[in-house]
Amino acid sequence: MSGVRRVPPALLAGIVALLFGGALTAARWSARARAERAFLAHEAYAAARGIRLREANRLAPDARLSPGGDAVRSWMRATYDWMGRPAPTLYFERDSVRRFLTSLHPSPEIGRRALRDDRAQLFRVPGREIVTAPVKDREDWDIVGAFAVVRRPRSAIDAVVYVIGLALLPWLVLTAAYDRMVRRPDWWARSLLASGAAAIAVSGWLDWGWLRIGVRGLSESASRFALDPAVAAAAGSVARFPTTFAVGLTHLLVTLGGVLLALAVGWLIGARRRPPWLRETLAAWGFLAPSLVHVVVFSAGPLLFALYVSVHDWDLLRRDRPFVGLANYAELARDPLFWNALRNTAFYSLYVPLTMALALGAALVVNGQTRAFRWLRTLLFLPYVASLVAVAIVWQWIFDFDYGLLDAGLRAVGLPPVDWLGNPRTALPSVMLVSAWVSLGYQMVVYLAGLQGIPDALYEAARLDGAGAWARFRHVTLPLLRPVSVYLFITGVIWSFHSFTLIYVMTEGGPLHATDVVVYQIYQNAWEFRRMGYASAMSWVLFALLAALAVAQWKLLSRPPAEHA
Amino acid sequence: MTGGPGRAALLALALGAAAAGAPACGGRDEDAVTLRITSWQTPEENAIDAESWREFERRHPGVRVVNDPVSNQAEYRERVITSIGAGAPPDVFLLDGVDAQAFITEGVLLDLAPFARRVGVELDDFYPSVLATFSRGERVYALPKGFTPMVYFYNRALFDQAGVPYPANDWTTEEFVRAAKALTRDTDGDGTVDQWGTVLDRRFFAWQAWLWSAGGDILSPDGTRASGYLDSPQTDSVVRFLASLPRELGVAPRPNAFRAATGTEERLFFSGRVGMLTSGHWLVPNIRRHLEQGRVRLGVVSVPRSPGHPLRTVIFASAYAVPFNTPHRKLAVQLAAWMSGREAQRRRLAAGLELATMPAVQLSAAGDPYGLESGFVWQVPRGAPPWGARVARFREVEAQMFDVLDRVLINGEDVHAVTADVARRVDAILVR
Repeated sequence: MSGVRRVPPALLAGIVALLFGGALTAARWSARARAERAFLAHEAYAAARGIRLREANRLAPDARLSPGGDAVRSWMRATYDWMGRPAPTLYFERDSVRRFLTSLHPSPEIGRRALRDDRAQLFRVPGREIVTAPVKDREDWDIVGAFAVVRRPRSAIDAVVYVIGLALLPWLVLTAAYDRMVRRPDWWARSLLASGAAAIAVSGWLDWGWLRIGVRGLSESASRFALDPAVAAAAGSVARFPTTFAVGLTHLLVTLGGVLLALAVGWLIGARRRPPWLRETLAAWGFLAPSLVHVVVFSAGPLLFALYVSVHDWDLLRRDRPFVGLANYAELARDPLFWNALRNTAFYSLYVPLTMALALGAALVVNGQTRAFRWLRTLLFLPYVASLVAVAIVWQWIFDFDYGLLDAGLRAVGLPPVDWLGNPRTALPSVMLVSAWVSLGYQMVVYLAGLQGIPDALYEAARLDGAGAWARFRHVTLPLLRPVSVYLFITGVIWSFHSFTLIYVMTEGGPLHATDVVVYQIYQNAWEFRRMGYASAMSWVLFALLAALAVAQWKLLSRPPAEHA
Repeated sequence: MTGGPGRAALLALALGAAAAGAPACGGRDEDAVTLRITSWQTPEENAIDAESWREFERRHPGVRVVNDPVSNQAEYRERVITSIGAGAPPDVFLLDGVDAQAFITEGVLLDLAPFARRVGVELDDFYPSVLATFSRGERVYALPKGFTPMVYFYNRALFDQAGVPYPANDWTTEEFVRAAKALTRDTDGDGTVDQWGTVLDRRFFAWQAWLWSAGGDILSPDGTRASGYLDSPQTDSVVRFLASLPRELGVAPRPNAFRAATGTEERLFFSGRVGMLTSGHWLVPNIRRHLEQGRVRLGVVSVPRSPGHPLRTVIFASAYAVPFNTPHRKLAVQLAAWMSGREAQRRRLAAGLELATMPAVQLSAAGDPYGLESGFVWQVPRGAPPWGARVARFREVEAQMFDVLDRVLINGEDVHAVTADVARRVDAILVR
């Protein structure tokens, strides 16, 4: 700590700024390089298609291209002039491409690869990058040439200037802010930081502007070569380069991240004091960061993306996915199958409290340390770790009307058999029974852990007060298991709303939609009917319902009972 | 801190490694082109096809064919759609005829017709009714590699026991009912029926041919409307007839109503408890061994037609397609052509997997040891592609069809009220 104090504050601020500027520069530089590569790939691909179309009337199916590329060269130069950027070097014909690539790297493989693959490709050689796109013959069959577009990455001097430029501003801001803070931290330190953040945003916006010009360039290239827009769009995927949208999004996120980071630094520096809680809070967030990143990337991200998808007519096979506003939600409101599924899901979730009661009973019974109890616990827990698909198939057989174990038992005692899964009235309760059987073991284990956490002293005290077994259970066990019950109930209900495998394997939502649950509907719409937008709308309604339910349950159930408050 | 030189050495090593790897974009064997082919075929089918793609590799040095199958057809479809959408498609994939229109409408398939001659494919070599599933005018979006018409399988042993003559192609509903009644028996005399004439399969593909062969249908000829067709008197009468099989006529066991497919129908048929089963050629490979050993004796006959209406069955075909964004277009087209070509089809035919899509190949097959193949071939000129090959949203339409028989059978609802209601729902799907 003392070592840190000896470092001059301005130097410290400078180091922080340099690191910040460097990281930001690297991220933005990489994003921009990706954008440029994507743009060049599109350009080369479009020009390659264009040359084929332009020359189509003159080319025999297998003929090589005539060196008629001057028009393309001048067109590309014009495009680049218009964008205010130097035109890249171009190579057209099979031999010149091969010679050129081989001159860059002795391996003839590079030349072969460029002329073998239908995709645009990226080759990195020291000092430059080459993007190639194949030129096909008249019938779009053989590769007869290729476009090679050379991209020269920015020089190291550029990078240094860029880093210093980006670091200088935060450095000024940081030192000024520090100076002000030690004397009289006030509004202008934060204002300066806000200006710094704004500068980064403007810089990002300028890049974004460049990118937009690139996008216009793409449509320009498509129209000049009478290129089918669908083909132009496909070039992105054919080329395996990031789409313009992805590049733009990366860029936007990097810029926004920079702004937020600058603002966060400003907030920290502008703080009047640094109380211990702040340090603790920061440390806590530091430890939480890895999980948080995971949650943001793999939960919040897809969730937001699903929201985006839900306002589009989104078909995975289709390239145009028009914005439809709330049309999917409006259709949901009118869809009787969705409401039926929602009702079934709500009814299905009733197995949770039932299982909890059974699990608590089982936990009380097997809460001993003898070998028999251990075996019993294992036996009860087994269904939970068994494959759900296997469980479903076995139960399907047990429920079978003609050959099932259950009906055989009924027949044996002279009772009429029941078509458990084939009757709309009994199908859902039958699946609920299986769900209860599967989750009983898990809930029992959680209850066991809860039971073993209750101090014996409390039971002793209750006994001394003359409490019987029921009274001890009612006034000691149950209240102390309340947090466990709340946890099991909330998670159980959430999982019951997610139920899919059992339904999918056992009934597929039948008979007559009696076991149709929301997640099955989501699956069916997304994958069988390819209605991703509609399925996403369903997911969001389900999410909203679950969130509301979880909050309500939490509020209702987590209140301590009055006598223990 | 000590260890500076060690760190420096490590850094130098790392830099050296990076520098060495940089120019050549990695040191992998870049010479081989890898073609990815995918299907929902079973391991047994893949083993037979493996010979074909090994042969393709021999004929195209430097090309490696990687098979990437998914046995579950629903999962297979998900994976193909996702990979095409993500821009990382297989080079060649097996397309189910039922999905043909959906894939064609969305423009994700390469038109193979312009390349057919280059890869030695004569489009005239295919059965026209089979190729029709995958072609639109002059365009051909996939090359069929196998197909089956929907037929009725019958158990010869049960017919012999009941003293009923074997059915003949182009038979009628009356003859079917007579045979089914004769085959329905209480064999152990306990008062309950334990052998049935037939089974009722609720899946639409199993009764589509019944509709067509009674002059009914579920959609208008242009596939844009269900009202007036799904609720037509002809369709109603077929639904009424099918529902009567397990109810009034009592010649079929209670249909499984909770799931699309459980295999119960097949199990009952193979165990000799059902005399007639509607299905396709896909049933044959599973029982080939039993046929060879004489444990089951089967026959194949057309789906019964209503008197006064011509027989029209449905033909289900699968074909190799090339996604528009394959990275190896030329090789992919060559591979698709090869895998649906004569040699590959001969191999599959010899293994009894399915019918060849080229008459010349089918007719060149050595014999018909089980007396089944000729029954299938007879249906071909009387077959047509399923609705899925013509209606892009057919999966959604098909999902509604379960309700038709279920509501009549389980709820006992009036047939016309049900068909009219489902027709309205289908109309809403088709106009969306």
